Amino acid sequence: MDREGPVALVTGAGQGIGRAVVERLARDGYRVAINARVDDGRLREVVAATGGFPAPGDIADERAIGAMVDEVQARLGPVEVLVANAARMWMAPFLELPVEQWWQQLDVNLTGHLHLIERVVPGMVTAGRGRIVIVASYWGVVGWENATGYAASKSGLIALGHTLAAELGPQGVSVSVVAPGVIDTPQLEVDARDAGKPLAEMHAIYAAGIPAGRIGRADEIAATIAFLASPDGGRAYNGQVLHPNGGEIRCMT
Amino acid sequence: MSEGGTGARPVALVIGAAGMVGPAIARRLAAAGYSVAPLTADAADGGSIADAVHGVAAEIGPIEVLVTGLGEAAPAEFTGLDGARWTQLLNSHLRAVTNACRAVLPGMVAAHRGMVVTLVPRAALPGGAPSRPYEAAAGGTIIGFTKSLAVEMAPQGIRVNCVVAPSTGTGDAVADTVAFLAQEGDFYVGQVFTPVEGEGDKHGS
Repeated sequence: MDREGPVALVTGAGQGIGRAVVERLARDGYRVAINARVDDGRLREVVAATGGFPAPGDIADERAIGAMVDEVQARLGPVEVLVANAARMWMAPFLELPVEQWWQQLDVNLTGHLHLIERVVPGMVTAGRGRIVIVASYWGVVGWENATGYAASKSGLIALGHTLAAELGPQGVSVSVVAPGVIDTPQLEVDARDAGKPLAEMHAIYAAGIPAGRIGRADEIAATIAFLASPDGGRAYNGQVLHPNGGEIRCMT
Repeated sequence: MSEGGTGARPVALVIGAAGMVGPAIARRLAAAGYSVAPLTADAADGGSIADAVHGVAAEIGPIEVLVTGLGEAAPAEFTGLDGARWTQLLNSHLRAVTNACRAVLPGMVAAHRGMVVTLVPRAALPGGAPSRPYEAAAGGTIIGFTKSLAVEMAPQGIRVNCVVAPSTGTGDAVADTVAFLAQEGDFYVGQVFTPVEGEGDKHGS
């Protein structure tokens, strides 16, 4: 690993979009701290494939996340780029999903990342530079059937991004939001299981509503995130929400 | 609803008696012919709100309109809030809204009829000043929740929308919007209304 590269921390990087972001940032010369909920085989595999630094910890556990950030900064140096990506999601009607399970989506996606951002911001402000990229979701923008808790967590992150950008921008820290549409990740298998449909049918159902004619790829989302994390991209897009979604449009209010 | 009919007046439940907005909505809906139920329960307490809702339905009648109240304001700058305080803030926003919906929706589903309006603090939209990140994050959750719930509930005859409460003013602009939605808003599903009142808020960022 290049010891001179800037330090990036990516949460939820054991699979899907998070893993693709790690691969991309590592290729771009960042020293990447790779967070996943537990230190299992998947995390070790991503570490081995990218040469990154393992940083396991449950985002919903404020103390564990504090210790994780402290260790990353002690070993690698101050975090310059944070990609807040980890998420939990269950799809079920609002009145049917058990209440505590419904709230776990808020605990990880919103509250966990709020506390994580609080942890890394002071170092960024001290350095006078930093890039925070929040991974939200198209569903947090337009809302989605059977995804009330997930969409709530993501619209909360979008609002957090707006205001943090205004507050931290003058201090050299940009905060941007990416709201991917439907992406080909292992989460789709969960969606298919929840819907009781084969995976291929799930792909076709989603693709039918997208002008580009297909669902997205994780590396396409990683490209957007790498752009926003870069010096030029971060200057140009502070506080905005980018929508890599193949042209899928409903009400965008 | 029937205008000036002789039957029982439809019941509206307006949560959030504190501040200007809740009472303004209650007055406006009462003037429009609704029987507005007072709610004293803490909506962030699921058991308490469920009991209160069942009491209203039993004593006054089935709830046709639910308006959820605004959560607590939080002027703190970022990094200025401890974890327990954040949880309390999120509870006053999203937990109160979801608890109220969990309590009221089963009756609306059974009746295949009803309307829900969630109120969202202005801080959750871009362009608010000063920036209030914690209030934005807590209040912003209500937007995604409402839009998603709207898609689930529309086929069941229940309309769900959001109204953003301006950061200053009398609450009349919000009340007018809620009354419009109740009386003539049949074709709105999962929308966010942002009435402007006073000098503080501008659209866009």
